[in-house]
Amino acid sequence: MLPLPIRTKDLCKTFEDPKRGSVHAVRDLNLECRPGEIFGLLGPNGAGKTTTLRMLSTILAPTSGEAELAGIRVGDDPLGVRRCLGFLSGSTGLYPRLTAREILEYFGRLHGLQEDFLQERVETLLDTFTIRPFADGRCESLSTGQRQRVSIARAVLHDPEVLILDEPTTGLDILAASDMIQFIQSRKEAGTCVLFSTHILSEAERLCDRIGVIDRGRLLAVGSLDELRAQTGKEWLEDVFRALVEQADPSEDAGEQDQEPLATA
Amino acid sequence: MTAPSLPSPRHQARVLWRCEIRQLLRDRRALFAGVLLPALLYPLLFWSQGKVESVAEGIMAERELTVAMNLDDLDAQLEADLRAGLLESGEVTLVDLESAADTSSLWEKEEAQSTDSDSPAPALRSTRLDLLGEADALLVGRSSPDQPDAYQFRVFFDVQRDDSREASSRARKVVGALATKWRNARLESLPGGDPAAHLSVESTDIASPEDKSGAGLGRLLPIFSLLMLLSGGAFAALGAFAGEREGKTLETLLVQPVPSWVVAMGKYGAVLCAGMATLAINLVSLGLCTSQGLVDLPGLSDGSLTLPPARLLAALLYLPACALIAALLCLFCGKARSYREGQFTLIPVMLMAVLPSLLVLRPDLEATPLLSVVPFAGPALLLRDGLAGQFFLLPTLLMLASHGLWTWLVLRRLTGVLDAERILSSKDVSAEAGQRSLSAGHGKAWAFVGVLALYLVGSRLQQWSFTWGLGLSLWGLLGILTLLLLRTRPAPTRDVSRTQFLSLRWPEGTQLLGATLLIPALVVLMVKVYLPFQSQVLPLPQSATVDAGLLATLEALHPALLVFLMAISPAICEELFFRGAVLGSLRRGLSPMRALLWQALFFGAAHASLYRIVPTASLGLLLGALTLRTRSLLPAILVHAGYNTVVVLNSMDRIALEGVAFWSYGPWLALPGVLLLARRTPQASQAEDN
Amino acid sequence: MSTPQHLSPLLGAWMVTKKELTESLRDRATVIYAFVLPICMYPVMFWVMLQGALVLQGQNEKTEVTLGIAAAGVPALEHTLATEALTVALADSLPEGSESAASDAEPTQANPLQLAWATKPLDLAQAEDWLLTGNPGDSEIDAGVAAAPDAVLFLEPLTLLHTSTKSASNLARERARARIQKHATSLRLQAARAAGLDPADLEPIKIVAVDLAERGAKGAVVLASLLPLMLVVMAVLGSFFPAVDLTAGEKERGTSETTLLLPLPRSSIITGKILAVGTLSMTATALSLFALGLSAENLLAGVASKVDVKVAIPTIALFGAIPLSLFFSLFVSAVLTACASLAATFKEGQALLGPVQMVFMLPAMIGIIPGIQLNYTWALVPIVNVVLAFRALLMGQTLIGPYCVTAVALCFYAWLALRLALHLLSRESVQLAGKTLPLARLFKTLRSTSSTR
Repeated sequence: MLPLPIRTKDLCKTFEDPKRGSVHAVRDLNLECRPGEIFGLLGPNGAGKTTTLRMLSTILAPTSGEAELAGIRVGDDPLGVRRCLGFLSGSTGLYPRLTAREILEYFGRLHGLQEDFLQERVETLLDTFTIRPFADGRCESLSTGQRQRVSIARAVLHDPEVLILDEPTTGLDILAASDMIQFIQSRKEAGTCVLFSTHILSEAERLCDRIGVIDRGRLLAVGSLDELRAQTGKEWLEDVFRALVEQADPSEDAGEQDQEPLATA
Repeated sequence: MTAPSLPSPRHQARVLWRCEIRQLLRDRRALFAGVLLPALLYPLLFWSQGKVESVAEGIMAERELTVAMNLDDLDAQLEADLRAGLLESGEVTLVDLESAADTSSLWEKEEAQSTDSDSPAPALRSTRLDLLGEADALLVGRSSPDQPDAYQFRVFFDVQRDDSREASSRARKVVGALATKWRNARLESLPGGDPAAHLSVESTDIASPEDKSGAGLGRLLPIFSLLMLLSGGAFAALGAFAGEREGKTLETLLVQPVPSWVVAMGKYGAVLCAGMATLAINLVSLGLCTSQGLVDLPGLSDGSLTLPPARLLAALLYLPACALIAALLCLFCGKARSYREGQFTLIPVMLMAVLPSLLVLRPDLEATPLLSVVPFAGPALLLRDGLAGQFFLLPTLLMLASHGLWTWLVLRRLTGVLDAERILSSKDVSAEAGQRSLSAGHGKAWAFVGVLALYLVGSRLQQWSFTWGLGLSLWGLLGILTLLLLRTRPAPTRDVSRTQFLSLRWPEGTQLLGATLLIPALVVLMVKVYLPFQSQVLPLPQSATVDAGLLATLEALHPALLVFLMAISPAICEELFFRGAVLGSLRRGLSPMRALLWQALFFGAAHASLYRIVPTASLGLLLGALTLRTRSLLPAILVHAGYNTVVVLNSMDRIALEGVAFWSYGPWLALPGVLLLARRTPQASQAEDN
Repeated sequence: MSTPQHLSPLLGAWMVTKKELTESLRDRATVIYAFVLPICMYPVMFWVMLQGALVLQGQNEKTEVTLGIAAAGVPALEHTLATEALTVALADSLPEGSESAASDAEPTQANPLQLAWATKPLDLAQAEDWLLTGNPGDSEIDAGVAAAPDAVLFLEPLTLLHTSTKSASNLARERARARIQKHATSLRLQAARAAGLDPADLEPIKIVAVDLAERGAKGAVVLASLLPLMLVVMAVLGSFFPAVDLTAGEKERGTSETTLLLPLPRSSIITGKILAVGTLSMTATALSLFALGLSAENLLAGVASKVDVKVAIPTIALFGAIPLSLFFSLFVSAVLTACASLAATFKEGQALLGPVQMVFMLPAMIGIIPGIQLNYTWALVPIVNVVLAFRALLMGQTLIGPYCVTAVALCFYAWLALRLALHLLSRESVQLAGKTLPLARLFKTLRSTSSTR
């Protein structure tokens, strides 16, 4: 049997903040994503979405628990994990003085793609994401939408099995956001597992096969939209969310602000 | 509801200033690095420097040295004195050499070779060093062959060894002392004694210790203060301007109902305060360390600093410099678009302020009215002289007025820079404007390269061989640079052909004639009017006369060759490069006036001498104007060649211009010349596309 | 799809270096810093100094100064010393030794010295007064000179009074002294000739120092005292800006996370950055030295035309200097990059590296103390060992053993710095920090266990 694309077990992350003491950003997270599905991580700011995604992509190390990507343990072989992973977030910028083509070639070579194959792939990506018109200009002169497209191309350059996106539509205009959504859907058709975080409910409704609701570091519920509706008895996703939050014990952690001390995008 | 009353500009400035100071004080890390750290580091630096020097001296003084000697030939008394002197000079072991044969052959061989010859043959060299053997130096004395009762000494040493050098210098000192003693004895033995005995002058410095220590302090303070002001002021200015621009808060500020001059003044005040605070803290720290004896300030002759406290009021004379440097910092950081750019501009600011201040190090200069107007030099000199007890009224007033003027001008420019629109549109909006500035930038860059190449490479070539070097610099260096400039032209200017770019076309005959008629006037103007004036205002020192060898080379040249080298070659090559290539690039990006000025500046700088800058730059202006007016390079070449020919031949007395009444009637020819040039030609009335 | 190959860490580091260099060289600021500034700085500075010296000397030679002459007991003019010869000597306004080769009609008056004879007898104290105030008591000064003297020559005993804090006084003193000296020499020569002696007999003892080493070794010694310290300074300055740019600058540009996602071990990434910084630093140093060499010769030629300063650099120096500079550059880059990586913004990075630069200067100064030689012990101390090694190289000393130890020690320290940088950069609080790490937390960070590879 093929290993699950994403699997976590009791994943925890605790930060030490000088002012607030120990901050439990992520607590006992158990997550499983199936191959070819789009999984949305939904929650307010500071819920622990970014921290979870960073742990999965080896940027942060878990305080305790396990995380596996395509069967590879994050702690054991981070390089192997990065090779199967495509990651995109607001804080993964592009090197401003390189051109789009150069960035793609750079990443391709570092992933070990052979030269002629790399060139073919780059050309394909330039067309797929219509980067060709500005492929040879420096990235510092590109607009936000153009940069987003180059970033996506970079993320899928090596045809990863898993795609992790952290709030992919933040800061994009209408057209660019719509392009992003279409892209995510196209990935599903290609069979890639996509995990993305968002706080925009409409996106979650539209794209996700399953949704995980996260708040204050805990995964409150996982399931498809209908399952969640059934669980809480509410119609609109907003109300579903509120109900789930209330169901979690409100007296616990009262007054504790679980803002992640590290700056997110 | 009553509308809130408009706050007065002064109130607004104060509010701004307080906010800036608050922000600065909260940036603790930068506060530490910019303000407090120098207070710790500078004393440390001075202390360690002093320590290193004293340790070095101590080490050398205590070294045990060995001096081998061969003094058989000497007078007994002299030998005894010599030995005694050497033993007294420190830990010295004297070794007498038995065989005189080796040393005398060494002496002969060394005499046989003149000092200008090449290195001796390797075999001989190794023999020589072997002779030295274990000893650090070898001292050989003989009686002088041609003089009775006179002696010659040679001390052989190895410059590569510290001990050897030290031994040699001690030997020289001892022998030198003996030489003086013997010389005085000789002079006394003249009939009538030493004729100049009454002429031994004793020098007494009647400056009081307060004055001396004041002068010493005054040499140190200006540059130290500048560095402190820069350190503290820079961190404030960078934060207040470049930092705000990066943090995007500058736009927000500029759309408030506050005039931009108020913003400028508020920030300027904060920068000035930061600089002065840094200076104060560091002066206190330095003062404490000095008074505790931890640090010996360089520049003070004795370690003590006896200064009446009232003298310190002279420090007020330096305030205008503080104000000016704070203003300059604000201006440069205000123009910077990011923190990084701002950091870079600190270097030119520092150079601009420190270089003039170095004048205080010359004891033969004092605060004259002329110097007191020079930015930073004036206050520095007045401070030093003030601490030394001298006060000059007129220079002080001039300094205050002039520096007030400079500061006001800089602040006015700063206000202009803080224009909201300018800040928001940090890039060139129009593509065409961008392309034009590309062409101008290209021209400037290559002109700069040309100046540097001529200075570094050309001057070396000319030292190697004047004639060939000059020829190579002109035809080779400038030629290659011209071609390179043409090859690397930015895209928009490539539409123009090379000859058009260089203005290589044949001009109207009348224009050519007109240009030629200008030559006598030009020569007269330079030689008879300007140069005498310059030698009054900016005199050349006696030692900087033309090298005799160079003159001889030039005299030996055939006149035709001389003219070719000194007149025709510069004319063609310099015109091609400066008026052709550089002016061609510049005028496609800048207004004609600016292009002319820039080109003249580079042309003047290329001749690498302060004394020639004004003549050559003005020549450059004229030739450039000629080129632009006639749209052709040839009149300029002609004028340049003609001018050079006349001046060179005249200065070498090859032609007699007096007889031709050149000086009196020549300039009048310029009038018809100008008229011819001013005429509208048929070609000019057609539109030219460049 | 072809299987991607896993890159070796070294190859990965090399690719990171290439990319960093490409990026840096496209930045105008870096290009100016690493190329233009080194080439231009020294020539411009030397040129300014030279021209400044010429201008000031020219101005000085034209400045008129007044020498007051006073004597005790008699008005100065009636004193026995006020012979014609003395007057003539003092009033001789041409500088000694130079035959004016000017072809101008009128000879230029350089170094003018006006004489002011006191018409009343003055004792030494009064003469000092005259100098200080311009008018001693009620004595009258020669009507020809109204201004106060800049220096006073007191006759018998011959004393030259001046105030060192006043520029005109210094000038007057120099000129008077030079002229009196010249007169004394001519008197002595005359007396010698009158007594039938050869003037050379007046100097019975002469000594000449002969350097047995190769010609040019002297120049090498001069270099050896200047160059090593300068090399250290240049290496540090050259690494400074790129180090901050590649670490803190990357955080500012928002690409640090992107870099972290590269399928390379962190050590490769850091090694790549350090190599890039080292390359830029070495380029800047080499260009600085080149420009310095060219312009220093110009400066020397301009200042002292006949001084023969030939510099012969021993061949061992050239062979040994290159690897040593490489290792040292690596060491400096590693240390500076490690320190700069603690900063979150460019500004903080600059502030951080300021003190670090000082830390490099102080040991370097130890290396120039004479008498300290490169031996096996010193070869182990960083920075000092480089200075000593360069000095030894320039002096032509073949101390192969200590050189090798120096090289190895430098590599070791560079590796240590790299490990430190790696350790720091693996800490998430450093990698992703929005703020610069305060030094107080540095130790805590070093001990913390959470890290990524």
